[in-house]
Amino acid sequence: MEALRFYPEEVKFTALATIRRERRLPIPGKVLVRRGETVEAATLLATAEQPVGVVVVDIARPLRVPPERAAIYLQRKPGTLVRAQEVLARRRIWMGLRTLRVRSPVDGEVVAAGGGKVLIRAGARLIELRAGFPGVVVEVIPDFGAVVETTGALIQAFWASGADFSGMLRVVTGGAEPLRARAIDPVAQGTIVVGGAWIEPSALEQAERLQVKGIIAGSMEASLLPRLRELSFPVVLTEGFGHLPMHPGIFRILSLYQGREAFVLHPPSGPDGRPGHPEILIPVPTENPPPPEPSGEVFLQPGVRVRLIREPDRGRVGTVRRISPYPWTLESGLRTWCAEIQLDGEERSVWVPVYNVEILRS
Amino acid sequence: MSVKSVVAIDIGSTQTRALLFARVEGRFRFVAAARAPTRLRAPHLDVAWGGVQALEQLSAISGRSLLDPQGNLIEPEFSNGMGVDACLLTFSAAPPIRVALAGLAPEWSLASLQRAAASTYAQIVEILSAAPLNGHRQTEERWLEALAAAEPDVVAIAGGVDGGATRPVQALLETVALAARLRPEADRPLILFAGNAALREEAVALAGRELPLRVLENIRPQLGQERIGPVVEALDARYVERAMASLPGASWLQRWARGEILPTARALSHVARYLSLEAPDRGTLVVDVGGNHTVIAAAYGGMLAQMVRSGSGIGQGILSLYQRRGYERVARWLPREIRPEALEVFVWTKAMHPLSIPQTMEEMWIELAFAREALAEAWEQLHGLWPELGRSVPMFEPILITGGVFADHVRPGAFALVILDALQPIGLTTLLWDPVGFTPALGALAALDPSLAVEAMGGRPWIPLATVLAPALDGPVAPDELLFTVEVHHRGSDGSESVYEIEARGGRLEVVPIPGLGETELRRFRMRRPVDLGWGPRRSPRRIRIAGGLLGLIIDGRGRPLSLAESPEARREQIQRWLWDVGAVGGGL
Repeated sequence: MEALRFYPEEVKFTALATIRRERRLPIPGKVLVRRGETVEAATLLATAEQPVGVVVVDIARPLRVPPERAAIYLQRKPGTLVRAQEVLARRRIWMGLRTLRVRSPVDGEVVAAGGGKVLIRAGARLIELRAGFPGVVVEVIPDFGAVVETTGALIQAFWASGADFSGMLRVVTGGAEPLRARAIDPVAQGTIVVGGAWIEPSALEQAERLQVKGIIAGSMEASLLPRLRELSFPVVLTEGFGHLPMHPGIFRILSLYQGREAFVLHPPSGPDGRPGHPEILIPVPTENPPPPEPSGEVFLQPGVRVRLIREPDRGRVGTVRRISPYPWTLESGLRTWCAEIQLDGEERSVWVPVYNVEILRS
Repeated sequence: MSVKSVVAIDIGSTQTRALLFARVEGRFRFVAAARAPTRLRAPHLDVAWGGVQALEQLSAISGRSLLDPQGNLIEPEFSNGMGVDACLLTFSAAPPIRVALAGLAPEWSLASLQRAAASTYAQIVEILSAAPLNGHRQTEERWLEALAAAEPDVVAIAGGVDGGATRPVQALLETVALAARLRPEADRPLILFAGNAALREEAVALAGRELPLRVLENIRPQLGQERIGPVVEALDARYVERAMASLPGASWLQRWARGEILPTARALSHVARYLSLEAPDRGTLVVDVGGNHTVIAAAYGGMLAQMVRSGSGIGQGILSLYQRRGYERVARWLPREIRPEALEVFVWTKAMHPLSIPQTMEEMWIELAFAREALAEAWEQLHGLWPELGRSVPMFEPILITGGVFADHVRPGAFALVILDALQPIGLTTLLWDPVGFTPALGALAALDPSLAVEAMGGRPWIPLATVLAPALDGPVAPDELLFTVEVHHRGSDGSESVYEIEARGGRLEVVPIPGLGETELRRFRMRRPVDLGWGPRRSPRRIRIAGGLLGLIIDGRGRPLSLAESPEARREQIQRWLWDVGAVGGGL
């Protein structure tokens, strides 16, 4: 039998690469940039108008006609624009001596008429698509947006609250050290505070007091989630919920670029509604373009670096030594294919199910 | 051309399964299964990838080459045994379709539409009622605004028995047609009209050429008559259409598919119906707990009641399941104390990594606690929508267990207990287990070629797990109180005979191993309490032949509804004992 191949999920972090990201509107709109244009994070790439309201105007009753006859008195046909107080429909009575009029209550577009009623689409919400990070437009996606390229560091995180944001990185703890209130001093005001492990509840209060731009840490208790909704800044977790230290490689990159501006982006959700990994981009200008970020298929095989995602070794990092040639029975009572992982910093190796790891690509 | 071999691809929200069926020694049957992750996350957003990977694994496992060097399915089967004659596709990976329901009265046409929507992957986003709904009358303006805000994929309209009221349904039709025209042409909802037949021409005229419309048989041609089938089929067809359009790579797999592409839940319903026809006096249940959907199909005499609960499962759906059910309900099934923070970490980890599986016993218990809640919720909703189910169907036999959460276990007692706790069957039933997820494929096969499906389902290809005898009690019983005794008579294949008496006690689970070979009968029931085993209080047949199974006979003396101890410590002891009784701890198969 041929050896089976397993493709667990992967997560990327790299200190320097050429990074391209597609930025798309959810509905068609107007693209405002051209290929080759340099953009800032706040640059508008594209806009679209999404209709939000509908107004129904009864014309049959004011015109004193049966609903099925009302349409012949329309002055504004479907597809035309109408201003507030403009006449929508008109009927002359008493041998033309008097005119019954129905006026539009709003600015909008007449979209349909029937059954004695007129529908006006009123108001629209403007959707703005911004670049999200500084770079160069390398491709325009007609009607939808653009592909923007930059060079620098890329870190894919586990979870993030709030919307896209940016700020200067300020590392306030050592690696694997929890983020406590006392680590956040007034200099942190207006920066993205980086902690090497989990966030203590007191740190959230202190960060709010000092008006930080955001927090990046390894993990946080899930019970703190309701408190995040009351805070003015977002939180990014690189590892997961609970008490997990940040991966040393990720902490190293964030420390290396302390003082630089970082941009946190939320990729669009998949067709099943599951969100993608939030990404931290740290633009770094280079004279020669670095290699592109890691891409292509990677499967589980000896030598591949992985992070364990389930108990009892959740959050640990190691290297694949081998894949079992047959399924194993776990303590849980499940029978599945497993890989032997040599844990970093330890003598011991562990056998874990092949889909209980994330491949680390850096 | 007769079909000698079939591969079925079932694309779930977490995993894609490939299943091979072929004629082996003259019989068409299931041969092998393989699976791969379903990729729905950038940058690897491609459901075809999972299908191809699963087929590659299936080729490796079965020794039958299924793909050519370009990655295309070899179809039809070559004389050397490569490839297959047909490929079947089933889907549950796409999000549910957004459905607005419009009807004349909440208790008639709208109730029927709700049953139809519950039977498929649909999310009800709006309900428009011509009659007052919850004491409030809705205006046409309110209908329009609601439809404009809800942005449904489908609007299903019903109301009026044939020859009955027309005006209120006409108003609904007009409003829906107006609202549909508000949307850009490409996004207009499909209108399903299943109301008074007298309005069919009117519906066609209102839709004109601009609005997609399907005119269906009246969902309630008479007050006492309901026909939800055509609406369910139309919703299923829309779901598949949307899945094909929204799932990248689906069209690649579609090229290989022969016959109708089915939503997985529909395929499961075919199997439930088939099994119910084998024993028309009893109901049949098919239960499926997956990553993001929980399905219960209850069939009796070919009739079907089905609940498809989206946002419920032990993958991505665990997060919303937990939000609805809460800590207390999940934690009550655990044999050890767990802090809410630890449970939340579990939930988030599982939701973000739905492919991952429990390694420790503790995590397995948590996962199965969620499976209980997913099933219990769907079961409650099924009974809410079909209240007659509890009255007219005395017992369900068999109960077929499928879905990702029940796959690959070596301690099947653990999930047999999940079924007993969540569904609380009464009387005599058998539990059948589908350990690899081939049941949807059998349903899809039935749609392609019923005779092949009958051949593949003949002799029940599922693993017999247990025969369950669960009495209904007339009131509370003391722990360990004797309920009844029964003799188990076994005649081995070598002619040897054995008889042993079993005592059924209150609050206890008795598990009696039954040898796989030979014949086993239950005889001489002696009632000590007026328990009801499904034949009425204190009544029992003289003898019942039962099947063996991995676990044997389970006598569930815990009563219905199941009563858990009030105090957490006592409850955890109770759970520990039940887990021990069914062999859910310790060694496995």
